[in-house]
Amino acid sequence: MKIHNRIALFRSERGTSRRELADAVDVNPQTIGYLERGDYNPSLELAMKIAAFFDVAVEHLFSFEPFESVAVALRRIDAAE
Amino acid sequence: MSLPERLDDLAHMTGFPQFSARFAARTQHGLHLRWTPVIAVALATAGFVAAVSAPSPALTLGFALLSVAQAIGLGLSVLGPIKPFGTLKGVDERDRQLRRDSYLATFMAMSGIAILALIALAGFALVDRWDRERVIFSLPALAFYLLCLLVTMPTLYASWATRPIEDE
Repeated sequence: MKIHNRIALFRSERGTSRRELADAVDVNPQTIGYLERGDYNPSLELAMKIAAFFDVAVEHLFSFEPFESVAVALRRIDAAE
Repeated sequence: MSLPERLDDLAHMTGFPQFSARFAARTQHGLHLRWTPVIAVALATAGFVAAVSAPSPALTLGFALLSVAQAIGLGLSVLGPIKPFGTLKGVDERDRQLRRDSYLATFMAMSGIAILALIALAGFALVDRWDRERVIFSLPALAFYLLCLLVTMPTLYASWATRPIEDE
């Protein structure tokens, strides 16, 4: 089963490079690339390490369902207001 | 100059330390060699067929092709995307999973090919009334062929199962 993630979004928001994240969670930078592209599902340990790095809950980073895009989320918030 | 220093210089002259340093640097990347293992498997298959299809000189040509495929396969294991067993530096969980999947696929293919080839060889030997010498030479050819598959197929699987990641 494919696991969707928002690693690229969080990384972009924090201005973190693949290498910096990879070094922090003890994997190769290519593995971060494969994760972001959805070609690799992380182990629970790696998922928790990445979530801890960004200081968020695992479910904020990984999901079985596709994440809502930022544009859709902003439109939804605007509509609610 | 002490003996260990002289030995170090000799080792440096072979060029292997420089190659090892380059190899260590590339272990982060592993090349996607998609067509090279295909060529190696094709050469090995052609070599095996030549070695068992007719006596000398086809036998010699067959073993020559198998040797070339084996040499290519050994190069693949150094340059390809699969990091060798026993390497700890730069090997993460995705590398281990890729290596496990690649070797599992290889062993499955090798098992099937070995069973089919043994049945085919026995069948040809009985139906075509092969002489004893031909049967004796066909079995090492099969063993050599399986060895070629062992060194080429993991790279073949890993290179086609994944797409390379572009640098940032």
